[in-house]
Amino acid sequence: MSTPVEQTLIEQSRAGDLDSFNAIVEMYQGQVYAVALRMVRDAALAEDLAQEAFISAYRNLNQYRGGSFKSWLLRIARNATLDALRKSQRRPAESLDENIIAFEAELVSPEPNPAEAALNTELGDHIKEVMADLHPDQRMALVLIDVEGFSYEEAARTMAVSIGTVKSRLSRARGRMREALLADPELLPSQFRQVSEGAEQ
Amino acid sequence: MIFRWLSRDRGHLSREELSTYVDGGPGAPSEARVQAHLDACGASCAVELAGLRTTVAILRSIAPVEPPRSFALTAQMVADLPDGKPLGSPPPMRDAARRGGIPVYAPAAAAIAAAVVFALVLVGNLAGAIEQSGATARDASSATVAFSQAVELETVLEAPVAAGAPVAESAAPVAPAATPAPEIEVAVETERETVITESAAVAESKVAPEPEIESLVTDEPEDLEAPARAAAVPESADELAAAPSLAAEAETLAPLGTPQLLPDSGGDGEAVTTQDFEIAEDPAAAQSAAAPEPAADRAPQPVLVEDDGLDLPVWQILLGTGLAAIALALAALAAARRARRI
Repeated sequence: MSTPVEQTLIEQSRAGDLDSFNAIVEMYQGQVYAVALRMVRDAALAEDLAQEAFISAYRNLNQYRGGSFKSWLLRIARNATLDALRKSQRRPAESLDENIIAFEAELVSPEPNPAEAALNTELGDHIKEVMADLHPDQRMALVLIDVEGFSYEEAARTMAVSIGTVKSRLSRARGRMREALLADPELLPSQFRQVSEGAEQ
Repeated sequence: MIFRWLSRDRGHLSREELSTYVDGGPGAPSEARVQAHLDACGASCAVELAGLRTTVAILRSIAPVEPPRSFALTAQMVADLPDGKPLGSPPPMRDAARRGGIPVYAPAAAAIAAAVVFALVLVGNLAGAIEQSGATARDASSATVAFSQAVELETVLEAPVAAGAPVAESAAPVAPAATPAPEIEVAVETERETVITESAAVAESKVAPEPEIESLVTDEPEDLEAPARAAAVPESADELAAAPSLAAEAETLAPLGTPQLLPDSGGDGEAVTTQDFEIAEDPAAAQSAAAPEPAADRAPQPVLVEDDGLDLPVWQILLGTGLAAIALALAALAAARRARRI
């Protein structure tokens, strides 16, 4: 369900108040952009996709029938990113890797030091590569739940699938990510290396 | 009961169950069940669970992304919206321009159109086949009735024909005039005048039958129509083939020394066509052919047209079914994709 503040802003936006809609944009633009960036791995394209998602949401605001506004908005962004991914697959000559930038996958460390920061950057690149190899549906489940902190219900509404499907996709994505991370235990932060050593034994 | 006990206490927890358990998501196995399973299973499931927890912890420690700019809409953006559509207008048809000019419904529409066209062709062929089958049945029944009538008349006319009455001499060329097969066309041409002039006599003689015939005709009025039909000149080979009574009567009435058409009554049940006629060049043979044969030898062939039924190709049915299925699938897919968006 949308919050009372959201509902008020939505009603005012439907009445033509652009400022009210922009207040909604400010609330969710971080998540919309993050999901787009982690899906397409291209900062410029992610910007375009995020902007396109908000414009599309503005134009179709009357079709919002209640429920979680965040899920409704993120579903628009998801559709835009999947369309972009399909286009990039149809036109491999315009690969996203040409102007790709590494999204910030650095781990939040309680005791940051140069060595840990470098390790985190390397681990971030490794995570990015593994995520790029995932199927887009599995990647979306992983990004929404494990990275962006969505609940299963929110992820299901955003992905327009059942909760069971979300659990299945998430489980497969986590399984592949787990295997990749434990295959390079030296990249793991020190507090996680013990687990990888136990797995090897 | 035993199965449930085995599956809960002895069977491995699936990776999906472990994954859901890590999050405490909906439908996750209970803590007691997981712990009991880990105690019974040993190290493998414990390592699996620990690895999952590590993976999730690393992913959740990824720093959040800050947007590089604000994505707030400006008045200019709203003014530049395509078609100037107002707020809340229906979504565009998947913006054909952005998708390379091909709307998402194009494949479904094309498949449906193909299926409709095919259905029309199929219905047309089916109707034609039914009509043809009905016409064939009607022709067969009428031909059988006419043939039986002609045989009856032939029996009645047996005595005059045997005496070489002019009726028999004049009626024979009628059939070749109607079906000029290449082999006999020249011969027919030389006698065309005779045919034309004598045909009138044939008709006249049949309209006014001899007294003994008249008495029979009077008893059965429908017999009057058979010779009249037989005397009429058929306009095409198909008409002749559809009415074998003409050929039968022509054979009966064939004069001496004239090309005679004999139906190839081999009893194979096929339709009589122009190729089934042969020229009896031997005058003796022609004379013998002109002579009436015993009725028992000339028993009518009741079935001259084979009913093939509806010959509908199987590939048309399969192709139509496949096209219809594809069309429905594409339409359903397009509708589902449409419903899932916004």
